[in-house]
Amino acid sequence: MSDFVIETKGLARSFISGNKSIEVLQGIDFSITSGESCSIQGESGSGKSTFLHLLAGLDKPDSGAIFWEGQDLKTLNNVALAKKRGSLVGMVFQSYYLVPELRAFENVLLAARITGIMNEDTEREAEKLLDRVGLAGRKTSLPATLSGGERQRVAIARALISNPKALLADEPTGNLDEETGDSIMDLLLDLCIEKEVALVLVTHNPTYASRLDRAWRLKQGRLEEQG
Amino acid sequence: MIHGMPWYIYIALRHLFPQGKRFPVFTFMSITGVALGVAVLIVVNSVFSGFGHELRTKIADTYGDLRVVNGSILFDPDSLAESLEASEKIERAVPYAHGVVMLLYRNQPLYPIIEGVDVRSEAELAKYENYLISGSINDLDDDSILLSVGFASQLNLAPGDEVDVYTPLMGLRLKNSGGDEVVLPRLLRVAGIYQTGWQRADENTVVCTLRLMQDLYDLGEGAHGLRVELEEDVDADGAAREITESLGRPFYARSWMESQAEFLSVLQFEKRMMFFLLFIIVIVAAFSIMSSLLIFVIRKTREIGLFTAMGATSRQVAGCFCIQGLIVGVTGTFAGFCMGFALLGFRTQITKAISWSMGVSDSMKEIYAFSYLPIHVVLSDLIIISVLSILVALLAGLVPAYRASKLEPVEALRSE
Ligand SMILES: Nc1ncnc2c1ncn2[C@@H]1O[C@H](COP(=O)(O)OP(=O)(O)OP(=O)(O)O)[C@@H](O)[C@H]1O
Ligand SMILES: [Mg+2]
Repeated sequence: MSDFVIETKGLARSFISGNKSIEVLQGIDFSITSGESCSIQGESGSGKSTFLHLLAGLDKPDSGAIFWEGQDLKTLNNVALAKKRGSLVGMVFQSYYLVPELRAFENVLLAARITGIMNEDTEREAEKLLDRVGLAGRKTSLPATLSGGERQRVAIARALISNPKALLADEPTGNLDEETGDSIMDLLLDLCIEKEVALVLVTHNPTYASRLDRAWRLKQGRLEEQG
Repeated sequence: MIHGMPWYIYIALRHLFPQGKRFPVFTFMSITGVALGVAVLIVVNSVFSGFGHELRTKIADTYGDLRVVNGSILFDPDSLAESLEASEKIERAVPYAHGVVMLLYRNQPLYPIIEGVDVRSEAELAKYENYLISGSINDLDDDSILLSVGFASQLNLAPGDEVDVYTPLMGLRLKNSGGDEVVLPRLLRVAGIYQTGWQRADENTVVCTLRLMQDLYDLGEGAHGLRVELEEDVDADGAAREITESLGRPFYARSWMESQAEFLSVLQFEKRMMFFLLFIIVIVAAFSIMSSLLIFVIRKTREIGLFTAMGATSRQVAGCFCIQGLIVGVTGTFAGFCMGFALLGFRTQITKAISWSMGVSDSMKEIYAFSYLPIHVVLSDLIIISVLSILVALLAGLVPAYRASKLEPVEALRSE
């Protein structure tokens, strides 16, 4: 078994737009170990989200390979891939993506339901997580009644309920004001250290990037480590 | 709470019945659509079956469960009747005679079918007594007849009136005697007027005693056949076949169904057509489920991407939306059953209200001779209605479900 939670080798991905092919990613070697954290910066359109989707196994590369705990994703069929994705990675998005029909508490539980790990303890776990992200009093609130920062807190709790090995966060503070963004970032980093979750954080904010173990930058389809 | 429930069923329920929302309007509309279709199907189907059932009962009543004939005259009907009655399937076998006569009243001739009833059988008499709308069954003797209501109204006859009756035999006798004999018509009194509710029996028939028929048709002690009433729950067709077989040629037993096969098949056909036409309502409801679910899938595109990101398979995503169609179908069918049976339960009040608001009085009674709306609930029809409507709703969910499962997760997450 590999030490790496996620590893990529020579990852390439291009898109056809009109009659032009855009080479978004051109041979990316990347790896992250358990409990490690790294940031990915890059201009808009440089392919950060594309890269994150590939890491989550939601998209397939044109060439190159992705490994989850040493296992090549090409060897997994769709069902096995989905199952493994549920237990290995948690995702946080810029625009929260909460299910509007569910209360905060049920939104958190949903991830556990989909992963298939629901039991008596899960509910207690979800309550604890919501307490931990500072929403003790808002468990039964509907997403529509929560502020942006509060929604992102729910989303973070949801991403962590199934005890993933890696958290992939795509500009989680992108829609928030600076102050709220800072507190969300504190929370995210603390939780990842607490739970020893590997964190891949896409961000535009160099201050956040500097707080992580490693900092990468996507530029012209290549990933460069920054000093 | 609901730990064991698969997430896609849980989400399907929550999509239909969101948390913290008292009244899910869209779900209510979809369910109501199915419910209305099912309710209408149940009501109309039960009423149709009711009329059919009523008619069948009346046909069986007037014809008898089955009739045994031998192609000519039964010279010893009583002993045949006795031997048939030995069977435990047969309640009674009673001789009858029938034919056509010319009936003259105020110089107006009519040619009714005449049926001779054995008045020794109390049960046979009681049957006609039930249908009597004027006169009295006790007045029926060998010099009187009962008229069907349609026939009586054609000649404007009432009980107590007298009519002349000529039989075909009189003409024969006249011819054989070379014109020497004087043939006089038989003077008969109207003892009563009956209405069975079955049009064919009420149009052009008259009833007299078997003895009078034997007289008119020169049958002696003979009869034209036996009317057989079966014990309860004995199948008339089956019994007829058995009797035909055991008696052998030239005897033949004809059930009431066989005697009215054409009419009954029209009745059956009408019911089927009605079912198909009304089922269109359910199909329309299914289309509206389909379109609202399709819109829903498009609205939920990013959510579907999210489910995938959390480890959902495309099959589960499809299941989530398909089940919504199923839930709407099942709930709608259930609600439709409740509505349908409620309407059937209040049918008397409802028909009264309708005829009152349209200014017609008791029109039912005039046309059908039932003062109430007859219904007959057929279990197999109910099963067909529920299975088909649930199936159609499920199919309606399949299209959006397929669409949802074909969404590329990355595209779904990117969509605005
Ligand atoms: N399905 C697609 N078809 C065509 N082009 C695509 C598709 N998906 C992504 N792209 C292109 O790939 C490039 C990288 O997109 P991506 O979303 O990964 O950028 P990003 O670094 O996340 O940008 P941002 O910071 O604005 O979120 C963009 O130029 C985008 O237009
Ligand atoms: Mg992006």
